[in-house]
Amino acid sequence: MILAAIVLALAQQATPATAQPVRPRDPFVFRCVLDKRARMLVAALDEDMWAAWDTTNGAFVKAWKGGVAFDGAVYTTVHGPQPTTRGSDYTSGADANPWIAYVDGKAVATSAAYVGYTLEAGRVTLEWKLTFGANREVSVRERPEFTRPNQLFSPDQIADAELGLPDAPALRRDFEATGLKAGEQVNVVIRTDGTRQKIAQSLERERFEDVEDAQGVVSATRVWSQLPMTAKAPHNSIVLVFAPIALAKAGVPK
Amino acid sequence: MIALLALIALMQDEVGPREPGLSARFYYVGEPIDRILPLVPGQTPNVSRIQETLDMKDESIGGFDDTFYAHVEGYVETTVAGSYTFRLTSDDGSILKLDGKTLIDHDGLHSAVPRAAEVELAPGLHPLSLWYFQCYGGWSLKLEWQKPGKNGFEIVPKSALSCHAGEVRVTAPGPKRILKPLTKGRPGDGQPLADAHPSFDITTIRPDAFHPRVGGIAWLADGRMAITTWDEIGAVWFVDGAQSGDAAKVKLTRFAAGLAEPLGLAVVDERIFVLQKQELTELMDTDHDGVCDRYRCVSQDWNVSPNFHEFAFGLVEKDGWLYFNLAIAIDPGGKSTRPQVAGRGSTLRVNIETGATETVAHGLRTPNGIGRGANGDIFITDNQGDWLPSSKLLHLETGAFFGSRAVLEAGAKDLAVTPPVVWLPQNEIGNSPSNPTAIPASFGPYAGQLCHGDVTHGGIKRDVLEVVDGVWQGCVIDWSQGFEGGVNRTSFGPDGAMYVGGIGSSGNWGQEGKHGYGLQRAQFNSRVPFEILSMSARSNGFELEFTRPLAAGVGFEPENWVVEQWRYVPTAEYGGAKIDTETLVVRTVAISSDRKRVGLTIEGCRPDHVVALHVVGPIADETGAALWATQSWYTLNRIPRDKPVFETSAPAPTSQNVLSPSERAAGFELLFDGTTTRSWRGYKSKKMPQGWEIVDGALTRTNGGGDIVTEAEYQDFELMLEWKIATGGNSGVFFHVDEAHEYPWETGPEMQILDGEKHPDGGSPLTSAGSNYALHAPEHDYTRPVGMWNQARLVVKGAQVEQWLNGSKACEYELWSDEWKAAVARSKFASMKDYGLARKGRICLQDHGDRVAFRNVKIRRL
Repeated sequence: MILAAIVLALAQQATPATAQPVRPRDPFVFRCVLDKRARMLVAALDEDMWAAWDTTNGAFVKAWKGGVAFDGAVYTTVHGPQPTTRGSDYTSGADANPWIAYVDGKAVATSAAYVGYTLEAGRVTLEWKLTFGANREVSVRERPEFTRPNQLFSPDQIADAELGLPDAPALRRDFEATGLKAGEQVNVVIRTDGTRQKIAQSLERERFEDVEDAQGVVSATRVWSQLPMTAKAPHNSIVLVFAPIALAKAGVPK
Repeated sequence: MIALLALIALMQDEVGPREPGLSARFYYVGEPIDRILPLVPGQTPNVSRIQETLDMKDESIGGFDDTFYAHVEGYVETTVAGSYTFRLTSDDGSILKLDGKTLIDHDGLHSAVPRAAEVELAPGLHPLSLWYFQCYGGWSLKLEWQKPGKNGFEIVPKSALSCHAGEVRVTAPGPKRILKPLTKGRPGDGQPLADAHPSFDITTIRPDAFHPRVGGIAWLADGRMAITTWDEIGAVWFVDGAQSGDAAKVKLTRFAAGLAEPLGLAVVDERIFVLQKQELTELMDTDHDGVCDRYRCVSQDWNVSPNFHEFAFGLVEKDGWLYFNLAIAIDPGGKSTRPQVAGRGSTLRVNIETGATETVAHGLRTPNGIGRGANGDIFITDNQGDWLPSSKLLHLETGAFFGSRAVLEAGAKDLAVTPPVVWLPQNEIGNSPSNPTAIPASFGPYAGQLCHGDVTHGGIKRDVLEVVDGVWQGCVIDWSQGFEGGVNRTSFGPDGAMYVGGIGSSGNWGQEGKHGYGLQRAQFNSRVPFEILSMSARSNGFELEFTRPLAAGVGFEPENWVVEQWRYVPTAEYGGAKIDTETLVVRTVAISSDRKRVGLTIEGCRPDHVVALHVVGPIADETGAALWATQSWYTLNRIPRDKPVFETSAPAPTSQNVLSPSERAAGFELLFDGTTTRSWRGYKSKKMPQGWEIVDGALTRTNGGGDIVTEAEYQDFELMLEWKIATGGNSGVFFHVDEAHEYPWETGPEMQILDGEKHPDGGSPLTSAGSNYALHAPEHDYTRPVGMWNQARLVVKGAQVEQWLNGSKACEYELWSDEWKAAVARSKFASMKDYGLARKGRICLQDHGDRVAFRNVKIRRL
C-alpha cells in the first residue's frame, strides 16, 4: 500500500518541475568516445549524476558521479587518448539492447535504432525506433532526469517507503511508446540492483542473475527489471534511488 | 681508420709562451641551433676562461646553459710518437680539429654519444681547435684519448694541454649573432610561398576572442555562414555578417553543440547536416528560436572503433546523397592499427531522405578532403602514410580502390589501384591536404580550376586537371599563403569570396608559426600576378599557359625549363621516396604569338610518373615581374596520343646583347655588343687583357689577365647584366672604382658573383652571390644552377644602392651611413681608407681566377 501510494505520486508527476535544472557542463548533452565505446551519448544531468547511453544498440550503459576526464586532440591536443569516466558508478553493466517486444504475450526479436535526441526547456529526450515482428516499428522516447526523493515525494512518503535520505541521488527515467497496437507491448530492461529503492509505475518480469567469482562462489546478484508499455498504457516511469557517493575531489572516490 | 695527420709537430719555441689548460670562449646565441655555424665576425664572447680539461656537464656558463657555442683552442702535447685515439663525447654537437685538419666531426643534435678517431702523432705540440654547441636540455663535453700502447681511454690531462699565455679575455653580455647559410631560392621559387596571393584581399572575420578550429563550412539560404568547430564544445556556429569581411560586423550564434569532432557540414534545401565522428546528424530547429533543438541521426551505419584517428571527413551533397570519408585507425606514433575495423578508409554516401548508407570507394587512409569540381565530380585528398608515399588528390569513382592496404591487408594486394589525379609531393607542395573545391567565376582566370588547402604545409594550392584516355590527371601549383592558421576548410560564399577555416593541433597537424584556428575571407581583387595558369600534357611534352604574356624574347632557351620526373612505389612503410628520379631534356621551346602559352617538347616522359617543372630561367613578364610561383607538379598517368605540342610562327627570340625599344627609350646603352670589347679595358691599363675573350656572344674571362673596367665613369646609374659562373667559381661586379689603388676592391663596393655551393665563400651569406661583398647579405640564395645565366641589376642613386639577382632584391644599403660605416669597420675593408668613399667611378668585372661570362650588359645614367 505504501509503495502503491508513492507510485501514484510518481505518476501524478509525469511532467517534471518546470524550472530548468542547473547542469554541470555546457553543453550538458554531448557525443564522444567514452570508456572505449565509440558511440556514446552522455548527459551531464547534475554535478552528482552523469548518465551515458550507447547509440549503437540503445543500451543505458551507466550512471555515475565524477564526470568525464576529457582527453584527446579536441580537448587536450593529445593524440591517442579519448574521454573516460571519472569517479564511481551508481549503476552500470547493462551493455545489451534493452528492448523486448511482446506480441500477444510472446517475446519477439526486437532491434533498437537510435533516432536522435531533442532538447527542450533545458531537458533532453532520447528517441529510439524499435523494430520487431513483421516489420513493425514503434517509437519510444526516454526523458532522463536527475532528482532526489524530496523533490518528488513528501517527507511522510519518503519515510513510509523507506527511501533513505531525502536528498539521496536518484535517476528518474520517463518512457513513452507511440505506435503500439492492441496485443503489442514493449518492455525496457533496466538493471535495478544496487539501488536504495526503485519506484516504477509498472514493473514486471524481474530476473535475478547470480554473479560468481573466480572460485565459483556467488558474489553478487544482479536484478533485471522490465518496464512495460502498451497501447493503453504507453507511459511508464521509474525512479532509481541510490546511496550517495562521496568523492574526495572531482572524480576521485574517497 | 687512421688519419695520417701530423707526423710533424710544432716545437715549443715555435708557439711562444704558454700556460696550462685550453683557452675556452663561450658565445650565448639565445636561439635554437642544430649545428655548428660561423658567428658573425667581430663579436666578443660572453665568457672567456682557461679550461683545464674538457670534461664538462650541465654547468651554468656565466648564467646560461643552453643555446650557446664554445670555441676551445690550444695545444695537445705528445711525448712519444705513435698512434693516438681521441674520443669526443658531446651533447649536442662538436667538431675537433688537430693540426689544422678535422679529426672528429661530431656535429648535429644528439645525446652524449662518443665518437673516436685514430691519428699518428709525432712528439711535440699539436694545435687543437674544438667547436661545440648546445641547444636545449642537458649538455656535456668530454675529450679523452688513448695513448700509444695503452689500454682504455682517459680524459686528456691538464699536463698535456696548453694555450697561449696571457691572452686578453674580453667579454660582452647579450646574445651573439650567427651566420646562417642562405636557403636556396625564395618563397614560390624552390620554397613554399610565404605571402598572400596578390589577387587576394584577406580579412579576418572572427571576433578576437573567438578561436574556431574549423571543421566544416556551409551557407544558409539567408546568406549566413555556418561552421563547425573541432573542439571540446563540438559546435555549429552561425556567422552572421561574414560576407561583410569585417569582424566588427560579425554576430555569432551557437546553433548546436555537443557534437563529436564534427569535421563536415552541409546545408541542403535549408536542412543542416553535420558529420560527427560516429554519426551523420541532421540539426533541426523545430521551435524556430534560432537554436537547434533536435539532433536527428540520419545514419550511423558504419563501423567505428574508439581509436582517436577514426575521423569522419565531409560533407558533399550530390543528387540527394551526402558523401564523406572515413579515416583508418592509427596507433599513437603513426603506424596503422592492426587489424582495422572493417569498412574504414572508405568513402560512403548516405541518402538524405532514407538514411540508406553505401560504400562508394575504399583504400583511403586519412582523407581529410572531399569536394566537388567544376563539373560536379567529387574529388578527395588523402594524407601520406603507409601505402601512401605522398599525399594525393583523387577522383571519386564508384568501386575505386585507392591503394591503402591497411584495412584489407593481404586481401588488397591484387586489387587494381585507381591512380591519384595529382600526387602532392611531400613537403614540396603538400603535407596534410584538406578539402578540394571548385574555383568560381568570381576568381577571374582561375575559374573552373580546383583548389585545396593544407593544414601543415599551409595555404591554398591550385589543381589544374584534365582527362586523358578516360583517366583524370593534372598538376598542382602553389597559390597562396598568408592565412592565420593551417587551412582545413575552404568554401566559396554566395558573394563569390573565398572563406578559409583554420585548424591546428599537435601531432604534425598544424602550420608552424600560425594559429591553430582561423576564420578569414579572401576577396578577389583582380590583381593577378604573373604565374603559371595551367600545365597540360601533350604527346611529346607539355603546354603551359601563363596569366600574362612573357616578356618579348625570353623563355626560348630550353635551359629555362628544368623538368624532373619520378614515380612513387607505395609500401607498408610510412611515406616513400621518389623512385627513378631523372632530369628530362627539354628539346625545344615554342612560344605562342601572344606569348601567354609555352610548349615544351620533352624527351623521356613516362606514364605513371610525376613530372615536375621548375621555371629557372630569367622568365619575366612585360613589366619585368618574376613569376609568383615557378613550379608545377604534373601527375602523368597517361600520355595523350596524337596531341603534340603546338608549333609556333612567333617571332624568333630577340638577339642577345641588343637593346629593346623600351630599353632604348629608357636611356639604356650597351656596354657590350657581343662582338667587340670597346667599352672595356684592363684595370690600370689601356688595353683589354688577353684572358678576356668573346665566346658565343658573351664577354668571357677564359684564362686570366686581370680585372677589366669600363672606359667611362658612372655616378648614379642602373646596370643590368647576365652572368654565368663556372663550377666553384668566384667573380664580382665593382662600382665607383678608381685606378689610384693597386686593386679595384680597395675602392669599389662589390656585387658578388659566386657558385655558392662549391666555393667556400658560399658558407657565409655575407660573401654569397648577390651580397654587397662582406658587408650586406642577401636574405636567400637567389642563384640559378651553375651553368645557367643569372640576371643581375645594380641601381646606384646617391647613397642608395640596390642589388638585384634574378628578379629578387638581394640587398640594399645606404653608402656612407652609420650602419654602412659600422659594417665596413667590422670587415676586411676597415684598413682600406678609401674603400667605398668615391662618389663616382668605373664599373669593374673581376678576374678572380675562374671562368665567368657576361652578356646583355646594359647601363643607363640616372
